[in-house]
Amino acid sequence: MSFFYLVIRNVWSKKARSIGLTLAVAFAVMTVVTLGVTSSGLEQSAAAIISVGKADFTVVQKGVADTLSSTIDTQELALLRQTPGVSSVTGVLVEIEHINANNPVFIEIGIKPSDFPGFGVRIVSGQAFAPTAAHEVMLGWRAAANLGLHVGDRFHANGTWNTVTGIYSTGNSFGDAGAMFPLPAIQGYNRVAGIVTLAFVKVSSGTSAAATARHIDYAQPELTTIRTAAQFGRADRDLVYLQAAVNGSTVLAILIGAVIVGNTMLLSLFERMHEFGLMRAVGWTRRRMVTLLLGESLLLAFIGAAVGVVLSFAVAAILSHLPALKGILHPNFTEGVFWRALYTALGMTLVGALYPTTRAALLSPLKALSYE
Amino acid sequence: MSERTVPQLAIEVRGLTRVFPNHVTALAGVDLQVQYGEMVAITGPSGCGKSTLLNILAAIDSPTSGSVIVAGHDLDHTHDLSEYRRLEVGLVFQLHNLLPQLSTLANVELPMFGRRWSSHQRKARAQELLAAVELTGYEHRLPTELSGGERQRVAIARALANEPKILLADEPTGSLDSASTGRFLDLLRRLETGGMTIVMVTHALDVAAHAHRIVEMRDGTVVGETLPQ
Repeated sequence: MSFFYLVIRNVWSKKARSIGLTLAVAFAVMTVVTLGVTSSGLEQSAAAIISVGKADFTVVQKGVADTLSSTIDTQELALLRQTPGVSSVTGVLVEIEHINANNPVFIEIGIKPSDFPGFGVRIVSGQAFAPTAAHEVMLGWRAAANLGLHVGDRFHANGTWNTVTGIYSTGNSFGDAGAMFPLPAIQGYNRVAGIVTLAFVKVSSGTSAAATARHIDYAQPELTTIRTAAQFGRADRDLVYLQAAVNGSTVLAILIGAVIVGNTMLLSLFERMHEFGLMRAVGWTRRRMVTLLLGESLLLAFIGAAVGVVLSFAVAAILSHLPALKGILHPNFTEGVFWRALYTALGMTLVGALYPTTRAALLSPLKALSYE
Repeated sequence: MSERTVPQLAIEVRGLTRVFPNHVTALAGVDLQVQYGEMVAITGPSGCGKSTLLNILAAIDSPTSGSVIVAGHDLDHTHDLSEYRRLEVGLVFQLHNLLPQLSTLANVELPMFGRRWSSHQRKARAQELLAAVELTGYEHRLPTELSGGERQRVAIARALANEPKILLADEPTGSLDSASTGRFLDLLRRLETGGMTIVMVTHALDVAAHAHRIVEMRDGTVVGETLPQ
């Protein structure tokens, strides 16, 4: 009999305890992983907007709670265009509208047709809307497919009916699932004449995008530049709060899990007192006892981590299909998520096992043998 | 382990006392000497301190005062009692104390963990011991699938796992029927013939009669010694 076999045998023979401990670990891991993948998915969904325009970086108003509530005026856009190294600046107004139950988060972009090439917009059918048209719209090819609309059809948005003049593709799934309106029209609907939400900046060839972004950050302190999803997460305060909530919930889940693991192991300690006394009586050292108990706990932690990840897949899939989250939540399972699951499982198991294991190791063999 | 002296006696106990935290005096100055190869039975009424004495010899309990030297180890100055318990003494309890989740073979292997043996060596040694207690073919049975006598023989095999010089048995026949008791005593006699020192606590005089010497205890002290007829 190998030591590992003894570990497996003990885990297998105490099924109720093993299942209880595995479930505690699994639920904690599921919570941590689900929170991680959903928040990461939400962040990516939110950050996807910055990658719609094929820009080197995006500029938003600094310190806004929600990036889509950013306002950049004409003067600020003009200053951006004058920044050394900047090749082009495309100002767009972005808003989100609930179209129907299948499209609860529909992205609408106000843009000048002259900015289409710079923004990476390719018209796949029909034609562009007129620059100042009041009731014209272009649909992304995904949106058109989802809504079952074609060129010439009418699309209800912003409280009015609009004629679909063309279908476009940006090569970005988030952008292709939305619609584009003439910039003045969408500014008019929102009563923000001359205001855009985001400015997509391209730099001249041979110019460093990072250096240009730093220059803008310095020269226009009311704005901030975003080049990556991580920077987007830091610029958007809603996402910062979301991340803080996720971190807090993660710590809480680990603590609760550790308490359950500790409690289960403590109950098991009393249940197995006689067994531990016997092992000490036949010459088992304290170190070997600790190794055995930690071995059992870690085996269950690994199983719990695996079960937790599987559960988190299921929960994330369910969440992403909830009407309130449909279209917003795209669970983002990455390699890091699995490491996080493993660290969570191991961390909470080791913390939870610390006291029961120490107590078992310090047992007096005689007292343990006499324990009823 | 430390403080190992040249062993003259297998067991040498002087002025041994044990007072429990509830102020009950279990041992009140016990002196005992056991020669190597001797089989000694300790008898006496319930509560006379015989099991406490055995627990102290097995190093699973500590004395309040007095000196205990077993196989040359002064237990009061032995740092690694786990190694002492593992290598120097074999312990057999009244209720055999086998781990129910482990097979017969695995139970016998239990004390061998801690020795630098491979699992193959442990298994071979356990099979050899089970053969010695006439339980070949029972290797994969669980303790619940064995009779009381068979379980006690497994307990003896486990106690002999690391080839101790001294076997300590606490009421080993207390839960056995007469046939199993007879078989168990035959086994002890074989071990004693092979040079094993055996100290057995029992209140059954017919069992004690198999020893070389009977030590009688009462109220925590040794009140007499007799030779079996």
